[in-house]
Amino acid sequence: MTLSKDLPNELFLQIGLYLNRYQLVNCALVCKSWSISFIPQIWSNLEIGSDKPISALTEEDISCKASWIRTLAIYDCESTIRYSNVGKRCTQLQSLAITTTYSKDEPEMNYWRACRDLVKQNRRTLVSLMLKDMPLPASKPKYGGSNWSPLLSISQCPHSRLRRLRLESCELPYRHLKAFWDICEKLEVLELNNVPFELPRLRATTRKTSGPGDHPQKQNLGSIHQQRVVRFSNLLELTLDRSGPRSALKQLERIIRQAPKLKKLDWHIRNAQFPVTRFIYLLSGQSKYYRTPTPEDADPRGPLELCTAPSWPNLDSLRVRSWRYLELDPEDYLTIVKMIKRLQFLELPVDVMTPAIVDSLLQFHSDTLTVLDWRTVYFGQYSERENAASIQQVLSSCPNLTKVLFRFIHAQYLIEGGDSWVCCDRLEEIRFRLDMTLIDWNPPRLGATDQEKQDVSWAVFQQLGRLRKLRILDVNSSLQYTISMGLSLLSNLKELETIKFYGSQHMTPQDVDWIVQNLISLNTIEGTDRLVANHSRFASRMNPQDCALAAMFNRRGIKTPGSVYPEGYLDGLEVTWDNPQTESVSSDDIQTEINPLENLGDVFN
Amino acid sequence: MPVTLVSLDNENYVVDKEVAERSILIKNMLEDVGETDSPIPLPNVTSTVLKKVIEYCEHHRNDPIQVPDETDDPRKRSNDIEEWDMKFMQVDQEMLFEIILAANYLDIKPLLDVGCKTVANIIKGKTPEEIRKAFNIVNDFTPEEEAQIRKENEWAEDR
Repeated sequence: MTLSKDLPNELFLQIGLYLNRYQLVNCALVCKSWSISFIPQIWSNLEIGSDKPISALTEEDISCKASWIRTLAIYDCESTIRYSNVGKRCTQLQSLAITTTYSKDEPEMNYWRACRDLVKQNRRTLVSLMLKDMPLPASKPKYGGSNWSPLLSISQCPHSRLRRLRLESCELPYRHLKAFWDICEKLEVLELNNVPFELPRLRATTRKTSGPGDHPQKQNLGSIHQQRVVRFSNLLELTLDRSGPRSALKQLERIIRQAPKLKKLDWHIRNAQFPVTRFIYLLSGQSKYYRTPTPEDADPRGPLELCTAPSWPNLDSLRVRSWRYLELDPEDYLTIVKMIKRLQFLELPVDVMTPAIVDSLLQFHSDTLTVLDWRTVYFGQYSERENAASIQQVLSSCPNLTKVLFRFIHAQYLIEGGDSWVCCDRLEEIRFRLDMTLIDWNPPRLGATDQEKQDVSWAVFQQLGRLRKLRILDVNSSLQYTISMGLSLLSNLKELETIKFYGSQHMTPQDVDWIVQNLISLNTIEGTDRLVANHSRFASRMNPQDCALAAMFNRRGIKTPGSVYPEGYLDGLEVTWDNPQTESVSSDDIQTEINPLENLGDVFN
Repeated sequence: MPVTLVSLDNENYVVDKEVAERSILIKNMLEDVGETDSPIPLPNVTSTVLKKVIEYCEHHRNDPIQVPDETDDPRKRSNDIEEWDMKFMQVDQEMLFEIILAANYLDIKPLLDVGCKTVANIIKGKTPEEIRKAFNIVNDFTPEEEAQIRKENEWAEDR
């Protein structure tokens, strides 16, 4: 039998998930039955923009394939207008992203019409919508059309399936707010990024002002509770990044508090204090944390509502950032740690990380923590050794960690506790500065011998080599990625995609060969010092060795972002390295030709 | 408690319940009928394939149940096949496709994934002609049709 012909189409779809667009085209060219399965997959995910390869196609070319499009991103006004008919012919568009590039002139009428058609035609199938840089018309539009906005369009559709909404740098004038609010009721994921808006005032009847001497617990809360509408009843993830009302308290009360199912909160407060006592009270739902609002955090229209139960019982990921220099009292931090039931990720600005916090983090959450980000955490008066001990403690007690980011650790501590890491099989990303100097000299003296340096390096590589699932390795250190320093101990890291390093690298062609052949998933090497020729403030001269190294990686399909060298730069120079192109390398992993100038783009983007 | 599975060609295989329940189809069946000794017929699977599938389930009997991940990146990676699975999948192509079909029918998601990844890895880095050769497929396009597909999808070729 010709086996492949017997596979049902759904299995071809499964296989296609592992192929990129180029490989899908090759599959489509195999035979008729394959083309029927694979051509729709080529077109299922489109990015349209004047700088995208697709801009060579006419509107008609794309339109006739529109019924296959599931995900569509449009990057500029011109393309939106140019391909305005594509949207009309989509039948299963699930995800749409529109970016309006701001210009001095307001977008013209054609543009709004094109946008309107795009959203209106597809509002029944859309599950995810993203708008970026879109100036929604604030007043009666001059465009001659209806009072249009994507939000109005979707809110008027009773069958909308929209579950994810992301707005970035959009204006949200008052007249669109109601539509936005309506949409929010069904959303599961909401991301607001730089979208400031003011909420309408609450009607006076919904609020009672407390008289002097009123104990907040004794108030008759009936009317308030009945009238409180839960706005985001389905919301699971919320990003509120410099968005919403000016007052952080209002953001908390009228947006975040309205989402009882919330699991993940990422809150970046614009120009205001983090209302920490109120937050803790809402998080815990316990009256012992209630504090009478001080004048600065009280809403001028009345007392803050009480709550009788935890406001977000499912919350497991929390990140709060604030513009102003603000750091939490360790006591408050500790309370938050204890209040959250199953913590996966927590990032709060804390004054000083105390052992008590670390202990309770581990006591309550060691099984659930997946991300540790201590880059902004300060360990105060505790010594480096204790700091390292805390990190060590976390790594040896949290089996589910996938990402570990912190400021810095001495190589010695990394090596000492290495055996006890329980998250070795999970870790995908590590970022920290690794100090390669030894600290416990025996006998005491100033510098390490070459042998000692080499021993440390081998031990570090041995430790890193255990992290078999690692994808991003960013130990910002003077670690030398060379075979003589122990590089080959990384041979198990088959999923490693990115290496980032600092300091000069003395790689030889043999080291490059080893990297290309053994780290089969590697696609990016980033160095902040070497491999970044012509990128320094001080030296505009390029180092031929660095360029040759970068060129060597590039030719073999590994990007070196930031390292720029003009085409032909190496031709006249005496770089003695062999041309690696002639060697046998599995064509699987390598793109054949890479234009060195392609990297120029990375610098300017 | 052991469970008896019966293949298309009437071969009986006795396996632990835990092993059989790697297949969501069988798991649901067992839940529906409750405690039973009667053999479970699997009329879509031949004995050679069933043997292979059971071998897989035996080896992975203690794996945690896979939760479907809804990552934003729709493209998945195919270079993360475990060593044992890789060896397990070193079979002739007919068998490979039979295993995929069986995994699909029996609803064994991890096995289906490994099968699809293996096929994807065979496809990767090959020209259409090489793919045809690899899977023994006859090119049934006319030159015009082939040129047409090439032309329409040219934009997708340079990434």
